Amino acid sequence: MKGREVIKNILIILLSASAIALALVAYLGPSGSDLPNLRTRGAALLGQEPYHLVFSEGDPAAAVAARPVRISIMGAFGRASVQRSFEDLDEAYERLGGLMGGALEEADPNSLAPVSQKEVQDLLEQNSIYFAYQGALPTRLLAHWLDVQTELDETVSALALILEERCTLLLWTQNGVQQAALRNALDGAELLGSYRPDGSAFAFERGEPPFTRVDPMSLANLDNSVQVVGASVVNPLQNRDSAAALVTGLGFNPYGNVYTSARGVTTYEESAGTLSLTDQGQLLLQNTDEEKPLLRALSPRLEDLADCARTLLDTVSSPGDARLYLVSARQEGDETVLEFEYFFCALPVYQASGPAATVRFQGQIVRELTVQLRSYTQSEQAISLLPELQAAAILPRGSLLSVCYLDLGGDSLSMGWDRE
Amino acid sequence: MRASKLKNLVLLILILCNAALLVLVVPTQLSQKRQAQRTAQELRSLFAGYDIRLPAGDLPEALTLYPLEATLDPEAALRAARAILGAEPEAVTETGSYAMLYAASSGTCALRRERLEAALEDRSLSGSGERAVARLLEDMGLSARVISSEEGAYTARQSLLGAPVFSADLTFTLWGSRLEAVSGSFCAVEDTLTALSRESCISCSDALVAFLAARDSTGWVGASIARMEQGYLLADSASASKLRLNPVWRLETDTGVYYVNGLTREVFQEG
Repeated sequence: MKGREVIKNILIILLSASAIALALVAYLGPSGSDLPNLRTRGAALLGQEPYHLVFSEGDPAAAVAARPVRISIMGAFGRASVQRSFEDLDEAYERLGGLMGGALEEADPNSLAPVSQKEVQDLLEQNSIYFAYQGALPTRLLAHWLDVQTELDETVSALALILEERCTLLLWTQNGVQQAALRNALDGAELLGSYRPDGSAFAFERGEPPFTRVDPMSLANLDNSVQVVGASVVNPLQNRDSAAALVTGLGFNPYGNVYTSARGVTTYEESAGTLSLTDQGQLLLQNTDEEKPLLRALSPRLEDLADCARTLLDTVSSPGDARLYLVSARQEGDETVLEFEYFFCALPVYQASGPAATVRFQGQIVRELTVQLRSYTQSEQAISLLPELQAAAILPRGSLLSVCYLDLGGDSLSMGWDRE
Repeated sequence: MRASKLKNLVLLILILCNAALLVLVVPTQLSQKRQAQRTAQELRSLFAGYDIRLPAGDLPEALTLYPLEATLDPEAALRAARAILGAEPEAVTETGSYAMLYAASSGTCALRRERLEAALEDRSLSGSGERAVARLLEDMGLSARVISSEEGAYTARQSLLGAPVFSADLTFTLWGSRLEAVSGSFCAVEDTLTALSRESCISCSDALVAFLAARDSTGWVGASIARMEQGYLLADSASASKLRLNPVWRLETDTGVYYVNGLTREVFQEG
C-alpha cells in the first residue's frame, strides 16, 4: 500500500516536469522571441552565462545633438577627408569616435597651452584625426555624446587628435588653438592605416594661391566640379493633421482656448503656457509648467539640457532628409540658451529669420522654444557649384571654403559658397 | 484514503494535460523538422546549380540574436587584469572607461576599449597547456573556450549570450607553465547587455541566399562552403565606453571566410 503511494508521488513529479517542459516547447518553439532571455537566465542559474539581456527604448545614437561636419584623417599613406555627406560622415564618426572620446577622457587640463598656427600645421601633417563641428560647442557635450567624461572645460569648434609617440589633443577655441597632452598614449595606427588617401588637403597643405587666401583649415578635394544635392522644402504646418498632432504632442488642446490674429498667428492658451504657430511655419512655445516631462530636463547639467532639447525637437519637428544639429550653447543671465540649425547633406541650411531652433532653459525647465518648422526632401537633381579653385580665388580673404544652403522661405533651397 | 484518491485525480489531470500538449507539440515539431530538411535540400540544389557544395546534413538552427550594446566595466577589466597578472595590481591607471592600465611585479596589462595587451615577466600558471588557459579564462570572468593552439600560443574565443564573438579572440603565449603574453580583443563588459532592436538575426538559409546573391560584388569564386556558424562581430561605434555587436553568420569557404550581417544581409570578407 505504502509502495503504491510512493510510485504515485514519483509519477506526479515526472508528469508535472514533463508538462512544464512540453508547455515551454509549445510556447517558445525553436524561434521563440524570449528564448535568448530564458536561455540566459537558465544558464545564469547554472552559473554558466554571466550576461543578461534587456531591450532598449529607441536608438541611443539618436540622442546625439551634433556630429562633426568635416572629418579628416592623416595616416601613413596620406590624407583622407569626408564632408558634404551624412552617410560618409556617420561612418567615419562611428569608426573614429571611440578614439576621439578616449582622447577627451585622457586629456590633461593642466597641460593646456596655446600653439602657433605653424605648430598646428606641423602636427596635422603627422598621424592625426580632425573633427570639425559647426559653431562652437562645450567639450563636456562632445564627451557626453561619446559616452565619456572629460576634465576639459572649453568651447571648441574643432578637435584634432595627434597620434604620435607623444599623443596630444588640439582644441580650436575662441582664444586660438590650444594643445592638451594625453595622460596615456592611444594606439590608432591600425585604424588610420585603413584609410586610403583621396587627394584631399587642408588649404595650408596646398600652400599656393589661391588657397593661401582662404582659412588655412579649409578642406579641399580639388575636384573639377563641386556638386550638391537639391532639395524641395515643405512647411509641415500646411497639413492640418500635422499641426493638430504637433499641438497635442506639446500638451495643448487644439480645440480649447484658440484664437487667430489678423497676421495669421494661431495662439493656443492654457494655464501653463501659450503656443503660437504662424502660417510661415514658425513655432513659439512659452512655458510656465514645471512638471511636464517633455519640458523638464533630468537636471540643470548642460548634458541633460541638450538631451532634453534634442527630445523636444524630435517631438515638434519633422525635418525629412535634414537633421537639426546643436551649434551653440551659452549662458544669458539665469538662462541657458541652446541654438540649433538644420543640416542637409551635412551642410548648414541658414534661415532668413535666424537660427532654426532656440531652446531657453531656466534651471532645468524649458521656458521658451522657437522653431522654424521646415521639412526638406532630396531631389534627384544635383547642382554644380563653382569649383574649389575658383571659389578660393573670389571668396573674401580668410573665409572658410565651405558650401551652405539658404532657405529663403520658398519651396526649394538656394546653395553656394559660404561668404560668412 | 482520501489523499490517495486525490493523487489519482491529479495523475489523471496530468496525463490528460501531457497528452494534450503532446498533440500540440509533436506535429508542429515534425512539420518544422520536415520544413527545415526541405529548405536544406532546395538550397543544396540551388547551390549545386552554381557548382557550389554545401556541407552534408541539416542547416544549423538559428539562435535568436539581437544587435547588442555593452557598456565597458572597469570592475570586469580589473578582474581580468588580476587574473592575468596573478596578483593584485600595484599600480592602476583608470582615467575613465576607455583606457585601463595595470601593473604588478609580474608584468603589465593594458586595456584600451576592447584591445588587451599584457606583457609578463614572472607569471606561472597552475598547470600547463589548454587546461591552464581554460582555468585562467574562468578566473578572468569570461565565457570563452580555446579554439586553436600552436607552439605554445593558445587562442580563445569569447561568447556572449551563448553565441561566439568572432572578433573577440585572445591569444595566450605560454612557455611551459609560464605565461609570457596575452593579446587580442575581448569584451570586459557589464553583465547587463542591451538589445538595440527587436529585429533578430536572419536564418542560415537566408544568409546563404544573401551570400550567393552577393557573389558578383564580393568576387567570390570558391566551390564549397564548409561550415556555417552564427555569432557576433564587434561593430564600429562612436562611443568610447560602449561596444556594439552585430549578429552575423560566419561562412567558411574553400577560398576564405565571409560574414553575412544578420540584420542588413551585407556580405563582407574577414580581415
